[in-house]
Amino acid sequence: MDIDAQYDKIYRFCYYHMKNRTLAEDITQETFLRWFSSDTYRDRNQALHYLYTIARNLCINESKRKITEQFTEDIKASANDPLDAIALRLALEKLSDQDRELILLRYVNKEPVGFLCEQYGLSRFALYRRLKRILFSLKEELRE
Amino acid sequence: MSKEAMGKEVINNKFMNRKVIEALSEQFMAPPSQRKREFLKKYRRLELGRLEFLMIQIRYIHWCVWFTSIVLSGLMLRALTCADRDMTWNFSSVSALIPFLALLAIMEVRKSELYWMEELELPCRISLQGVLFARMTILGVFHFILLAGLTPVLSSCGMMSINRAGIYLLTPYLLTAAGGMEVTRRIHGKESILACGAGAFLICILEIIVPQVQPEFYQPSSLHWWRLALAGALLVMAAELKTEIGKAGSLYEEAL
Amino acid sequence: MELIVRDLTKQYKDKLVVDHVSLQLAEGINGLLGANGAGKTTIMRMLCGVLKPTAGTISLDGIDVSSEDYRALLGYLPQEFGYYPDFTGEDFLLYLAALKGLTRSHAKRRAMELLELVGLADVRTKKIKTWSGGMRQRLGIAQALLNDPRLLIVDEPTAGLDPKERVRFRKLIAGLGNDTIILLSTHIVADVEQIADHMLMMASGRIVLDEPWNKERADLEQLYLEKFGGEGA
Repeated sequence: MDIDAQYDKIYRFCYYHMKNRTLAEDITQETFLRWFSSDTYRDRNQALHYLYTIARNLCINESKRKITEQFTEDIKASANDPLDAIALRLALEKLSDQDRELILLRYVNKEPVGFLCEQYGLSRFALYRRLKRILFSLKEELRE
Repeated sequence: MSKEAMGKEVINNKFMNRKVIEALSEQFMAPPSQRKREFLKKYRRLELGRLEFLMIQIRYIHWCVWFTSIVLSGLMLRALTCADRDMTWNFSSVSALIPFLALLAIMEVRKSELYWMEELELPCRISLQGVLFARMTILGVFHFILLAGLTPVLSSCGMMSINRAGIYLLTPYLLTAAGGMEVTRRIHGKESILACGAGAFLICILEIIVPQVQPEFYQPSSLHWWRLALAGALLVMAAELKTEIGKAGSLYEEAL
Repeated sequence: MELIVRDLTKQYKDKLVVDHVSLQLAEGINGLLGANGAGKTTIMRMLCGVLKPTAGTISLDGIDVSSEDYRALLGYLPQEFGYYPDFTGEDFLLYLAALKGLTRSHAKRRAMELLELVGLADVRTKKIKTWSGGMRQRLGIAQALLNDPRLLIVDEPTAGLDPKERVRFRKLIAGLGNDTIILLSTHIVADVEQIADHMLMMASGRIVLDEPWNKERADLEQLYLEKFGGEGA
């Protein structure tokens, strides 16, 4: 596994949940430390699954100690992006937590479909259908 | 909706999808991590699995080796199945080509020494021993399969037992391989190639000339000579393997 | 991090090439000066696990030289090295990255980073046989850095380079940061005078100088001649 790249992905995942840079990095490093000291896995998807599970649990533990913030921050607008960043942000907020996380893992972290199926307990077919549905609803929101 | 309009709709859809996906990355962007390098520098876990490493080494084996091996085997097959010559000649030509098969393997396994790369490879995490072992395994298995394929052909064409056929094929191979390993361990660089090539030629010539002079060469009565040679070659190969896998890598000790 | 060398010895039939050397190296640039044949290369080969010592121990923060963990932290630029024919600069780095245990995607990223660092990014797809000596040397330092080493051993890196290349090389080494133990051997005073934090001198297999170095000093040559006065330099 490309640990160098995976660090960035877990960090992004933790940042999404914690909204705090230092906390996100602390949790990322703790995640890897725990993952390093565990047994080897049958395959890569299992390894990823375990990695994200540790990260998510650590985030949950941490956030029990602080009030969870809304998914609203400084709106990031891009100069050369014709798509309305604000609209996209609002559209994302309308999604369920799980759908939003799925988008992060699939389209931003670009994790393999096999792993996602394991993570969310879905068949490949169900996963593709769900992704299609999410994208469709995002586009619908943007069209308005 | 017309077919055209539907087609346009699909393309539009895909275009929109891509745009949305690109924009999503920005929405989930995190500020750059500050302690990453420090952490990763401290915890150096091996990223590459042993099997993955083997796969990578297969890709680094020059295509010439696969190609030439197959061509040589093809020639040997042709020589064996060629009905219009006497059998001794057929055996000779097959046995004469086998040293070159082994030569190919030795050249590829010892590539690091031949091209002065071993100084760079020895201090790597997966050190040169790992590479040598990988190359030996890959090529050993490959050539074993080729020879195993030729054995039944030799057996039927030459009307001999599989056992005997195997010995006739394996002995020149292992003699050349063992000799090559010894030579490349003591001599580095281009001289090594010449030395190994000379060795292979020697065995090749022997296979051609000896049967002419001593017709019993390929008769069952002479089989014990072959067995002796094979045993000797196996011993040398075993010692070589032990040295390669066991040593800590002492370069140029003899040269100095 | 500390590299601790105790009683390191290398004996060939009738010649004692390295004579019971003991060292303690810390992070920063450690210069090793000495004439050809003083034993510098032999020591460096032993520090890289390429040559087995006759006696003595070498350890990096307690990790022995013969272990894989040591090699994971090690980067080495030998005095001379070859390359597989038909390899491009990028191929070369990717091949060695695999030996250092990097996955393909990590290797590609790292190779690109390093090629840019050493200024070879625009020739990376050209075959090494078309490259100049200076370019190959830069490629050599790039491969030594692939695994982000904590111990970097560089053996006579500027031999055969023109003055301009030497300055470039010096700047590159000096810019490598303070969290790596760098040991740089040379017989050219100018290579290390301005960049070393610690200076070592070697003659006939023994260390004759081992002290911190002030980069402002410009008397390294004098010091060297003092130490090696009567002996053939």
